[in-house]
Amino acid sequence: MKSLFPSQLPNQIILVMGEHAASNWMWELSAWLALQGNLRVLDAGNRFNAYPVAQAIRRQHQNPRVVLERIRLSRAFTCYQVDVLLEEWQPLPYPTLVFDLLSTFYDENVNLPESQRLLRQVIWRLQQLSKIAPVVVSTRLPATICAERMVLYDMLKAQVGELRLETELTPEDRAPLPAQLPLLPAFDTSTPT
Amino acid sequence: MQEINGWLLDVFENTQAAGAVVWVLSDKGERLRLYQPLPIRFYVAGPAVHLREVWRYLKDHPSAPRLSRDQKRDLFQTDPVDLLAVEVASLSDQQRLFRQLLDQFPTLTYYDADLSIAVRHAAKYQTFPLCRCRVKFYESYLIQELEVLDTRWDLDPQLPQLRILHLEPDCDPAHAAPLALCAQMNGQSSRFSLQPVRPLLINLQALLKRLDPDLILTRWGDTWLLPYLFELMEKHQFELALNREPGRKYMQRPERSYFSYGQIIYSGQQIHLFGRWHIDQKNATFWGDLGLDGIFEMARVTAQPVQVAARTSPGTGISTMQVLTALEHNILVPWHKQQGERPKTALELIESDLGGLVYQPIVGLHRDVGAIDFISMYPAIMVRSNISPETAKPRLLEVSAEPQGLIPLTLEPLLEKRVALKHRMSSLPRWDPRRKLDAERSGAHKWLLVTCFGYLGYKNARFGRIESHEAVTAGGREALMRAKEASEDFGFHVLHMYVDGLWVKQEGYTQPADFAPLLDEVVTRTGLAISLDGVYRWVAFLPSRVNERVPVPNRYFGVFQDGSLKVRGLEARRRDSAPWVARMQMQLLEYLAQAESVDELPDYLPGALAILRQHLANLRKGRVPLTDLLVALRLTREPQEYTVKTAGARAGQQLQTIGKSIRPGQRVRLLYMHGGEVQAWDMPHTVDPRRVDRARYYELAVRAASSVFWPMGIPEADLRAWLQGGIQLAFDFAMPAGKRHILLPPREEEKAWERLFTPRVNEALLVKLNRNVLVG
Repeated sequence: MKSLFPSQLPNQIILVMGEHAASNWMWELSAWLALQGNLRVLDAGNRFNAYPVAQAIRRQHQNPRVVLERIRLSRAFTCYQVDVLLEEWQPLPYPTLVFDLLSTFYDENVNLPESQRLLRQVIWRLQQLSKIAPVVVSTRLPATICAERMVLYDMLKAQVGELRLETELTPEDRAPLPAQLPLLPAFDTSTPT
Repeated sequence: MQEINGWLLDVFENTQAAGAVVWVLSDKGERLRLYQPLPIRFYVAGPAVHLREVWRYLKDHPSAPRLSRDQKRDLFQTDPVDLLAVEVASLSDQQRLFRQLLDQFPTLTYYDADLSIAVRHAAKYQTFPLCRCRVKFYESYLIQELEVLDTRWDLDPQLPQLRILHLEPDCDPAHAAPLALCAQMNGQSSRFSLQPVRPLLINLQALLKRLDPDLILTRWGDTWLLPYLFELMEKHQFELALNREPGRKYMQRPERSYFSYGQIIYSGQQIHLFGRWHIDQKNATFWGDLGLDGIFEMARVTAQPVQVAARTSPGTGISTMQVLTALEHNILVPWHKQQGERPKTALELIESDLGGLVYQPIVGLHRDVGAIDFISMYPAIMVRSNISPETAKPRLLEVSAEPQGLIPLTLEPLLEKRVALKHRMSSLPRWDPRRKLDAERSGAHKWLLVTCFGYLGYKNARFGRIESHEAVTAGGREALMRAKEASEDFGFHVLHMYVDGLWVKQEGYTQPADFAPLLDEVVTRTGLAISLDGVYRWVAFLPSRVNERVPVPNRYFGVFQDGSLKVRGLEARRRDSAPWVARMQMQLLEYLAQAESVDELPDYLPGALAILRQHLANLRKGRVPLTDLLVALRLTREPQEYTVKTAGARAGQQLQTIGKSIRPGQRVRLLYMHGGEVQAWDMPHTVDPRRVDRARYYELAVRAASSVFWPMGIPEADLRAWLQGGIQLAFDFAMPAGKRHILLPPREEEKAWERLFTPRVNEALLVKLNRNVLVG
């Protein structure tokens, strides 16, 4: 798992772009960060899946429940909720992960100028948080039915410290699973019968 | 001053004077256009210093709003909110003012700001479409008093005799250019040629004036017919009386694609009329399920105008009901929801965010199985446990001592009405015409109640809250577990559980009365209403197609004791199945359903196989109309965006090349052709039936048939081998277990099928066939 991430995340906004908002990579990152300490997650696109996170933790830690307790998350379903949640969050010395940040801003029910206004505010709030701890934000490009919202992605990209492009994880990227211990006493198959 | 009794047809904004127009159909049959003032009020909240700025901004505003201070309740806050109330004379003024305020003061909070005139009228006067009312009005038709005489919850509302004009083109405009319009009313039919235009308009005008319909019921009216007529009217300077309201044009809502529950949905453009209704059967959300009576019921209980209720999702309906409850109880309606989720740990998320409970079925054939359903389980839990955004999280299935929350307040009367209708339906004989009416109205309630749960977690629900959503599913899982425990305590074997229902059996329990003690026990343990859906003579749970050892939930078919069939998850129920395949599968099931008991089933298998062979022979001999082979596939994105060019994407691109607009969420009708190609059905040229890929349809049919025969002990491979020319089909029937044989000598059809897949022979077979209509 360590090979996937830098040993120390910088105190800045790191934007991760990928299909499905690079969710697989973000789950692995959540697990890796939680193994080291507390972590805050804002799930803005219903992307956080606790099961693969738990599985990733289990590979490294004998008590995944303890580690899962270190992850505190809130889900937001509208861009207004994203803004309000970030406003409520005090700057803390923990990393912050935001899953699929732009998902709610791509919502056609909110007009584009309003989405832009809110996103400006949200980026500012993320910048404040990133002054004392790393902030990793995942996103994806807008679907064609809202292609005009590409401007939101450009706004975000212009304000981040680092941009990563993530492709889906392949099984080879993952740490190898420990071999299943034999349930029965071993026997030598080479013994002639 | 006059006084009349009648029914309210419609309420919309008055463009001639500030307020609302109210169309009423009197007991004497008069259609009256009345009007009344309806001041529109909305609220602004925020820091006092900002509200003072708003005050200064508005006090000299041209729309002359009345400004005052107020205090009201926001559902998500504990203390009343200090507000600036803004009141104007008309809805248009209010909408304009609201947009200006948003531009000037985007950070403030707005309430009651984007409500329709119909819902405001409903909140003020308790009106709803087709309500009985008594109206006093002046000579000028200004309403002096409006009193509603019935409620949305009446089981048997008195409805008016409406004049309904059916109007449609002579063919599907997406497929070919129509040549005429067909009109029908009171059993009389007329046909109007589209050319020349002037006589068409004059004749239509005469028809509209003579009949003065309350409802114009069309097919393709939203997407083609009415836009076409309006275009002709403009081009020929001819005022066709499609509206009853003089001087009004029409209201157009554009087509759109949007995401809903993870699926992309397409909604065609809409044309609404004024003073009379227009409903396009092809664009009405639940026309097939609910019919006109169901749509009227949807409009009545949700208080949405009939034209809106016909076209919007039940989610919009339930949202309107919640808004109405809020207005009636003096609760503010937020412009948008702001409250996020209370932080939780990932462990808490795993424990709480689980959804509905599913126990995989025991695959195969089972006899004498009782199907037990909770009646509207999730809404019943919401009402019983008082689950609402503003109430405390309940203990599992316990009754709350708190005052009733907004969501249960909204749902309780609807739930009671549905339960009452269901009880009445079960007591009515099959021939009673009220059964159909009750079923359509109950269907409308069902859709609303199904949606109300999902709406708690929906992103744009104004009164939604994810924690409430989770509390409902937690209650549902608990109820199902208690039902399972009760079943096992009573000696039943639980075969399958799916969210709100379970399938149980016990040796010797074959009659509904045998299950009554169990039902009583489940009610006692859960506090929720439950019903016996029926006792199956036999039911078959199906496995995954990929792996026969893996069961698939909610994919089954079975026959109740009265011989009626229940089918879930099979081709016969899927919208993307070719009608010929769906019909063939349904015929197989209907034939097998004639078996009085599971013991007789093997005797019916030869007949069922003969039905399959007959259908395949029809395909081979070109007796299947092309329209029965059409497959309708939904596009999830623009056709050119597909990286893997699916059949739907390729058909969509064909349509785009001839200038037809294809939006994500739309279904594309197509035929499978030789060489792995597809042919979009709505292309201008006719399809060459010789190029239709009959082998592909053969494949689809055999797959569908195999789902039916598999539980009877006939594996798909054996069925295929037999169809390709086998002599004897041997199989192990499940109950009573034993080897069975079906001996049918291979006929000429089987020989012909072998040749079918050889192109050279194939062509020889095809030349005789009708090129335009039948499959070659």
